[in-house]
Amino acid sequence: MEASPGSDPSYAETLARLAKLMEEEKIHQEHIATMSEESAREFLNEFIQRAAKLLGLTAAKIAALVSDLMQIGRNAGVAFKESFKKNYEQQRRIKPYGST
Amino acid sequence: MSAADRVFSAFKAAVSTAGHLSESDRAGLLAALDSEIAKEPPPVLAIIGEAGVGKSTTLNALFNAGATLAAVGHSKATTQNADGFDVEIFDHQGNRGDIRVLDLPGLGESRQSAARLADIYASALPQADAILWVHPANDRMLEFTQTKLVEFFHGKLKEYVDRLVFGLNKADDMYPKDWRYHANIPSDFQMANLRAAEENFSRLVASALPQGSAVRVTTYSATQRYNLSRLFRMMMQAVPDRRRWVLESRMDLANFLELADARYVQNLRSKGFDVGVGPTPPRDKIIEMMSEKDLRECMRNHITPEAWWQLRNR
Repeated sequence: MEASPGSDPSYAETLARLAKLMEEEKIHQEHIATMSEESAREFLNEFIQRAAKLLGLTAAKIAALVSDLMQIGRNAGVAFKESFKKNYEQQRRIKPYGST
Repeated sequence: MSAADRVFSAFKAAVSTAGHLSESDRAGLLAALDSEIAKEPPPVLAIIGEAGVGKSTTLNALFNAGATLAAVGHSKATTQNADGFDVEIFDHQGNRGDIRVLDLPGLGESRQSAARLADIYASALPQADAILWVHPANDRMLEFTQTKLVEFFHGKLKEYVDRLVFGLNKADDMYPKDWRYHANIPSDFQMANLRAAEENFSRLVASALPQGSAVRVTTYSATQRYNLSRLFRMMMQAVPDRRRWVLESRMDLANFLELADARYVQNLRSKGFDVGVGPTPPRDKIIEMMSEKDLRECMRNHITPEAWWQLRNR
């Protein structure tokens, strides 16, 4: 084990590596979220087709629902950017310095 | 809220306000959707590896935020014992829902009976959404594994090859074993050796698997929580498209920065990095945020306002 940060001559370099690691982690998390959103929309699309038959919806109503789904897809990028930061921070769960 | 939950919520909101649907259509659709989501089977993860390679720790690091309490996970359902091989099938209790786990023995444990093991893999692996093959990062004896991969994945299992992810665990154990614990990252020597191990393993696996197969290999450390996001991303890629949201809905990765010296975390925060929740606010500010119900719950359970705030921001 190396010395504590206060006496570590490579402190700045270590900090830079940590920062790089965090950037990489954030990119991985963004890709994970994007894959999940695409998958959820695929699931919903299949659901609409099944449920529409079950409920006897007309073709026009089904088309409107699919249109809603496409809109969610278009909005997802914007919504994702807005909500990602909050979710990402919650995911990290860093305890405040000095807390036990 | 998972990414999938956000999509489902947006769709439900669209259905709830859809003018082209009758009230009964809207209610029927929403009820049917909730039912379909609830009925979706949990993600099925096959995890292959020899005893002691860190399979349980890996599950806890990916789905339980690194919790190691005895109560976490491992609700054993069945053990299939075939010719001396234990194949455990259990529902791992993740923080965000169950994960069905097929725990399969590694190849190194079975040199004499590899043919029998091939049958076990052939019956178990097609049930899996993803196959995580856990191997020690510092083990370079791969010839046997390579030979068997050729046998398995050129035969009956060929169509499942894209579900494979190779996780090279125990990155912190990599030579010369001088992990920078205060920052929770590999030393420079370890980093170079980890890169070499990853390249070496990828090359050997690529030459063993059918041509054109996806080769997903990453080093990680379940105990040090290192590279978990990368491992999870590869697992998501391995899962069939239609089932990816189910796996992501269970994700609860352990945070590697929790094991780093808090001074690094403070410094990163001061430089504008998203390191997580900020410092705990003063008690009176926290109490202002709490509802009466929250206050009553905390008093009844002897939870301080500071602890409540930290739990809420987990």
